[in-house]
Amino acid sequence: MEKHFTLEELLTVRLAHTFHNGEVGFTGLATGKAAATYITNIPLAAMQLARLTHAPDLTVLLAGWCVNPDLSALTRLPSSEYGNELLNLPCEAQMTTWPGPWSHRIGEIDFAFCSGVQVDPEGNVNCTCIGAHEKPKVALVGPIFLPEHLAVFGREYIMMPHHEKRCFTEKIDHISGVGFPGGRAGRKELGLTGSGPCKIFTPLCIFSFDEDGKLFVESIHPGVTAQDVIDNTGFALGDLSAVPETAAPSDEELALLRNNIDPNRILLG
Amino acid sequence: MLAWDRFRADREGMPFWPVYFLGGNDVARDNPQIVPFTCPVTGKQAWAVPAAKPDVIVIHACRGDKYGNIQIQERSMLPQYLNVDMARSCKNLIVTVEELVDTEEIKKSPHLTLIPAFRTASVCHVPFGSHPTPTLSCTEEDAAHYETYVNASANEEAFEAYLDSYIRGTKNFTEYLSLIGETHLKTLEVR
Repeated sequence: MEKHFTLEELLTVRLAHTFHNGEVGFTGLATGKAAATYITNIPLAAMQLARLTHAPDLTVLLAGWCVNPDLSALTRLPSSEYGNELLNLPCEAQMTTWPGPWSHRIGEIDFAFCSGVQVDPEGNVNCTCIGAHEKPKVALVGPIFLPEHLAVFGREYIMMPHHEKRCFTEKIDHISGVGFPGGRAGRKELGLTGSGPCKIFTPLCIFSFDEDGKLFVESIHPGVTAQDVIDNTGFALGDLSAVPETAAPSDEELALLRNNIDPNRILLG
Repeated sequence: MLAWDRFRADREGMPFWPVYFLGGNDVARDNPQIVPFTCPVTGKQAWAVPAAKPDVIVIHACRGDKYGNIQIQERSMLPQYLNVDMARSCKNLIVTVEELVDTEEIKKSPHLTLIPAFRTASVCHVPFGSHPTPTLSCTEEDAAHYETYVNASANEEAFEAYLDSYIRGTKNFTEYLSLIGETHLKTLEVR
């Protein structure tokens, strides 16, 4: 099937539709190409698209300190949260001390984005190690901010640049970010103030979580079959025959993305 | 970012900082030094994250004077601000600076002095002292050197070779920098 949009554009537009006016969305600045596209670039483009359409009062909090950056001014992506390029990015506020490293715990952030190497059917995320924690086969970046992301932010989007069996596993090697262990009731007992994972975006599909906190396939992207999703997921997904196709972006949305939000093709390539 | 809470406790002379969000997280499971307790006020499950208690902290900054007044450009971002928190949390603070200036120069912009002289045990003039990482408003990261480092990390032999040439094979930081090369370092200066 001939598509007139890219996978990144599809995910960006679907994501944008889930934001509400007046919310505060946070994203860090990830490094590494695939990770950066999914955790940083797509979320930034989606938040800006929401601001230009149904959510003009949505606030973009980039890297926890830069408020409503003018992304169209970018000529290249800052390489890290330490980068000099961020310093002169036009924006509304640069705040070092608030919400800073700590005040996000009072619930200032309505939604945020994270990633990891493994996700289980309860939405728990691992970004710490493959194998035993004491003697890992692969030591990864470590939990960093993931405990807070999935515990204290309003809701969390899990952005997975790879949809493979080894990434979606029945059991993960380290719970670095907590989803719904024991369902929504189980999560409640843990005393976490945020509502946890709400959706997972992958190159093949969008997952959501049902009222018990169990993951299900919400939609499958154009050109991808249900069997592709099943074959690349390491746990049972049930019958996917009634799952709808992920809705395509409109021409207006694509025009906004290409002409206004990302004119230099910095975010979505 | 629990590590930040450790220095936050130090900054205020507390043995620990309380956090409430580790329920179900393996970070608490794997680390016996993170101690679960019941919050005396709310009755909620909480965890005590122990203070880091650093004896010595070494940070790199833009500029300072010989007394140890340390200036960092005012729009420090979050990661850089951890340096400042750490500098305020230790017994002995050593600061390396890009530029050593006269106190009169410091007094022209006292709002940039985030660490006053009485906090600083020692100040050392070390241009490019944060290489290969960047120093905000002074130097860029050295992406090429990151790549060298990552490639060297592929196996033990390659990493030993890296250590032999850049660390063990150099007498001091000046020699390390000359290995990186003056021409290349020039390209990392923030204009």
